[in-house]
Amino acid sequence: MSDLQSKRTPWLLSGPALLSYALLLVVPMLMTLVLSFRSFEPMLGVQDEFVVSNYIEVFTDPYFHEIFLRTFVMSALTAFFCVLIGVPEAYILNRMRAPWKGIFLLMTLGPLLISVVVRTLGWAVIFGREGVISETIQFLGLSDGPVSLMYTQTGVLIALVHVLVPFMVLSVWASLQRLDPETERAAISLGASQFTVMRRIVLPQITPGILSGSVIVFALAATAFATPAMIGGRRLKVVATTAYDEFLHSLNWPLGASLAVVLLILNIVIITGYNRFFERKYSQVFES
Amino acid sequence: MSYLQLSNISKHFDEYVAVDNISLSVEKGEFISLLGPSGCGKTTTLQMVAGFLNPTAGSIVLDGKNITAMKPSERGLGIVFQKYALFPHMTVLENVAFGLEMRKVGKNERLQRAREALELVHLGLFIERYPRQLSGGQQQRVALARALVINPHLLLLDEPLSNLDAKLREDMQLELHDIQRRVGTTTIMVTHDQSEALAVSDRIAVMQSGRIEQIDKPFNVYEHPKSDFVSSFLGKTNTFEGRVSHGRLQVGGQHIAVDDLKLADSSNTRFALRPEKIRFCSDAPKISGKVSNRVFLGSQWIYEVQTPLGDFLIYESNNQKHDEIQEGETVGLSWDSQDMRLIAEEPASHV
Ligand SMILES: Nc1ncnc2c1ncn2[C@@H]1O[C@H](COP(=O)(O)OP(=O)(O)O)[C@@H](O)[C@H]1O
Ligand SMILES: [Mg+2]
Repeated sequence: MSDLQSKRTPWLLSGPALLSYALLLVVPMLMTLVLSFRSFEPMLGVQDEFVVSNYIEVFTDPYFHEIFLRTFVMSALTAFFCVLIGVPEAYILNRMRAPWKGIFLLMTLGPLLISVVVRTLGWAVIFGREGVISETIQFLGLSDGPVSLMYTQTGVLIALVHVLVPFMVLSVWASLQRLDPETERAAISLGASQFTVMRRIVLPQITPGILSGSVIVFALAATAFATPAMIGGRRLKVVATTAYDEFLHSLNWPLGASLAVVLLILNIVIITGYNRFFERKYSQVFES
Repeated sequence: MSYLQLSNISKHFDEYVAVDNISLSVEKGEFISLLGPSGCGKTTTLQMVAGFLNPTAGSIVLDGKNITAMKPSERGLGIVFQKYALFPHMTVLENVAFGLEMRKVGKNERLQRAREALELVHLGLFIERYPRQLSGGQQQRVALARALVINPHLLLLDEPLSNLDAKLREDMQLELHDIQRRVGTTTIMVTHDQSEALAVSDRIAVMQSGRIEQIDKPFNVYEHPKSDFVSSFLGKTNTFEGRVSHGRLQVGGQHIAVDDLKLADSSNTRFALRPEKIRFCSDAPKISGKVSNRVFLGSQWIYEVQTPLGDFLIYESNNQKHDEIQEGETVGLSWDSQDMRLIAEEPASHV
C-alpha cells in the first residue's frame, strides 16, 4: 500500500460518519448562529440584516438574567442531588450478589428506555392537586387544602433528578468496576473502620466517575426541555423553554436562536472549566 | 501453647467444603508456607486467619487470645495481597503511613517510621511516587513495607511473588526470607510454587482438597513425603509398585535387592524415587533401560529412560566424568535402596 493511500484510508473510512455529523449537527448549528444575528419585526418577521440587538437584549434584560440564573441553579442542584443519590446507589448495587445485582441494575437503568415525557407525566400525576402527595398530606392532616408541586422549583428539581440519576449511576458504576475491592480489605486490615474505608479509600478512587457523572447531569439538566416544560410550564421558565416560546409563540426566531447560542456557550464554558480544574487536580493519580 | 493455633477449622461454601478440619500450630517468629495446587483452600484458610471469612467450625487462637470472631480491623495483622492492593490515589509514603495513621500515631513519627520501613525494602528513593509509577517488584515491596510498618502480630502473604517474572521472583524470595529473619515477624505464606515454599519456609504445610496432607521442614517434606500426592507435588518423582518377599523386591518380572531396607514381606507397596538419586552404572545395575530423551539445562542434565518399571526421570548434575550418554543408548541404572521411599497408599477415592 502506498503512503498516500494509507493516509487516505482513515479519511475514507470515517467519511460517512463525518458527513452525517456535519449535515445533522454542524449545519443546523451554524444556521442557528446566523439566525441569532438577524433582526425581527413583529409585523414583517425575520429581516435579512446583521444586528447584535438580540444578544444585547439577552444580556441586559433582567427577565432573561433571572431565567439563566434559575437554569444554572436548578442544574447545579440537580447534579448535587444526583451525586447524593446516585453514588451510594451505584456502590450498593455494585456490592449486591449475583441475581440481585443484575435485576436492580436493570431497574435503575431501565427507565432510560422509557421516554422522558412519559416519566415526567408520571410525576405530573403525583404532583397535581389531586395527586398522591397532595392526598397523603391532607389525609395526615398536615394541610387543610390541596397542595401542588406543579409549577414549582421543587417539583421540577425532583423530576429532573429522577430523570437524570441513571446517568450518574452509570458513570460511578464504571469507575467502581475499576476499583480493586482488595484495596478496601487492605485498609480494613490496617485498622480502618467501614466509614474510613468509604471516605479515604473508595470515594477518592471513584471521584473521576462522580465528576464526569455530574458534568453529564449538569449539561443534560441545563438543556432539558420536556421536564421543565411539563412540570414548570409557563410559570417557571428555564432557558430551553424560553427559547421554545420565542420560536413558537412570539415567533421571534432570532431572539430564540440567540438564547440557544448563549446557553450552548455558557454550558461549554462551565463544563470545560470544571473539567480543567479537576483534571489538573487528579492528573498525577489517575492518568494512565 | 504455640503462638498461633488453628484448631479443627472448616469452611463450607453452601454444600462445598473448601477447608476441611484443618489444625495448625505456628511458633512465634516462624515462617510457615501453605503449599498446594490451585483451589485446595489455601486462600480460604488465610482469609479466615485474617478475619475476612468466618470459619464454619473450629477456632483460631493468637497469642493466647481467641480471635475467631474478632473483626479483621482489630486483629492487627499485616497482609500482602496477591495483586498488592496498593491505594492508587496515595503516594508510596502515604500508603505505608496509612496503617500508622489508623493507629493514631502522630504525623512526624508516622512519616519517620514509614520511611524506615521503606528503607528496609530498599525503596527509600521512591517515597513520593504513586503506585502506578512503580514496577511490579517495587509495588510488591511497598505492599510488604505497608504490612510490616504496623508491627503486625502476624504477616500474611497470599501468593506474594506470583505476579513477578522468574528472575525477580528468585531475588524477592531471598529478600523476603532475609527481611522476615531480620524483623522476626511470624509469617504465613500461601503459594502453589513448591520451589518458593522450599526456599523461604521454616515449615511447609502441604494441602490438598481442603486438608493438610503433611506439615514438616522443607527438607523432610521433600525427602520423606507421607503420601503419593506430596511426593509428586514437591519436585518430580518416579513411582512404582512392587511386592516384597524374603528381603527382595519384586517389581514386574524383576527382582531388586533391597537388603539394606527393612521391609516386612507384604503385598503391593508403592515406592517413590527422586530423579536426582538415580545414577548411571555399567556393572551390576539394579535395572536397565533405553534413553528416550535428554535435555541439557546448564547445571544439570535431564534424562528419560524407558525401563521395565515404567519411564524413569533422571537428573544428573553437569559434573559427571563418564562418556556422554546418547539418546537411544541402553544404560544401567542404580541407586541406594534407602533412597526409595515407601509411600502410604492414597485412599481409593483419590486414585
Ligand atoms: N466465596 C466463595 N464461594 C464459593 N466458593 C468459594 C468461595 N471462595 C472460594 N471458593 C472455592 O473454595 C475452593 C478453595 O478456594 P481457595 O481457597 O481460593 O483456593 P486456593 O488454594 O487456590 O487459594 C475453590 O474451589 C473455590 O472455588
Ligand atoms: Mg488463592
